[in-house]
Formats: sequence, structure tokens, C-alpha cells
Amino acid sequence: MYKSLRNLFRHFDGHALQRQVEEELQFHIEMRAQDYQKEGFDYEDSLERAKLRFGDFAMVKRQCVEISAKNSVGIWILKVLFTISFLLGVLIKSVTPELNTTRIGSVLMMIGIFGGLLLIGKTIRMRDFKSAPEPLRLGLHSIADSIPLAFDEKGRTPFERVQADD
Amino acid sequence: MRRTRTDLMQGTLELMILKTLAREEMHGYGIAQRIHEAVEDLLKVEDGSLYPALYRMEERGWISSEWGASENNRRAKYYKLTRAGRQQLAAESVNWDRISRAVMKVLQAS
Repeated sequence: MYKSLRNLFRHFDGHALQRQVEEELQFHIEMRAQDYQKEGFDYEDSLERAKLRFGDFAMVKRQCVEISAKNSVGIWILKVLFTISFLLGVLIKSVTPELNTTRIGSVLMMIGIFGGLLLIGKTIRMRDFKSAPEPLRLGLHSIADSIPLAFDEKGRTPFERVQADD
Repeated sequence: MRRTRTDLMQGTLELMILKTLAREEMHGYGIAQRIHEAVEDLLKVEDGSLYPALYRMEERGWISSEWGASENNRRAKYYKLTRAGRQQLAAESVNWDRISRAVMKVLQAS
């Protein structure tokens, strides 16, 4: 229970999320560097090779943070809370004509509207710095360079054509 | 211009990750190493490309993750297959087999 709550609150904290992603990626690079060192490379060279093999660290980190943040439980709960507060506000305003209650309704509606707008704004900002359009197509290189693939006019491989035709 | 880069078909990396995790839970580096060993240098997967795929798969509910201690006592994030992931692996394996047989037929015909 405690663990779930802790994870839930971590989702609200963007910096914590970034730190976690960075720690995970850094761990990967350090493990790779250690393996290179075992092969006989010195520390500097090992680290350099590990970084090269990893690819664009900053881009991978951004993608991971974005995927986590966009679909986190925290964001989902916020959306639900804002929607509920908006609907509650509408309900209070329409059902009770008294001045004070109407004010409460207005406040709740405003919370819902502004909260929703903030979430939309956050999503748009995240889309802006999304730099790799096709993350699953990154970095697979054929060793058999001498074997050309039969690309069609759209640049699709035979695999992709078969899948598209299905 | 000759193209020397083989693009991964959508979902191929995910299928390799699912299959790798079917045996045991692993951290990202372990997954990368296992895939690297399995493909025997026929393909070179850029290490970093693994992570967005892992995060996406977790978001889809195919895998789950938990922080733990690695073999060298470092903090590492371990991934394991969920029930939905096992179902996905079964479905994608069948799909992959169908596609590869179809491509072979095309290649053999021409």
C-alpha cells in the first residue's frame, strides 16, 4: 500500500521521474563501460565506447520521460479530479440558486477549467520537445551491408509491404 | 544510393523484448545483452533504442517494473512480463511466423 502511494506521488513529481530515467540509463552505460573494461579497454575509452553504443542519451531520456509522464496514474487521477470538480460546479450552479452556493459552484468550475487547460498545456509542451518520430525504428544496422533491400517507391521494405497489404 | 540500414519493422524490437523477458525478469542492460547474444552480431541494436520501447510496453501493460539491486549491488530497474505481455508474446509470435513465411514465399518466387 505504502509502495503504491509512494509511486503515485512520484508520478506527480516530474523531477523525480527525470532522475529515475536518468539513473536507469546511466546504469546501462556504466554496465556497458564495465564490460568494455573487462575486454581490456581503459576507463576513458570504455566510457566513450559505451556512450557511442547507447546513442543519443538526451533524446532517449526525453522520450522515456514523456511516455511515463503522459500516461502516468497521477495525470489520469488529476484529469478525473478536474472533470469531477467541473461537473460538480455545474451541478451546484444549476440546482441551487443561492448566492453562496453559486459562488462555490463557480469556483469548482474554474478549478476544473484551469486544471484541464494546464494539463492540455503540459501535453502540448511535451509534444514540442518530442524529437524522434519513430522510436521503434531507431538504430538497427545490418552487418551485411552488401545485401541491398528491395525498397519500393515509398521506401518500404518487403516486410512492411506484406504487413500493409494484410 | 544503396541503403545499408535495415529498419526495424514496427513491433519487432518489442517482440524480442517480450521473448527475452519470458524467461526471467531483467534490467534493461540485461535485456540488451541477451538480445545481443541471441542475434549473434547479425543485427546491431543501438542500446538506447531499447528504453523508449520498454517504457511504451510498460504503459501498454505488457511488462511491469520494479527497482531492485543488480548483480553488482547497484540500484537497477527490473522488468518482468505481465499476463497481458504473455498473451501479446503468443499473438505476436504467431503473427511474426506468418509474416516471415509470407516474405520467404515472395523471395523464393522472385
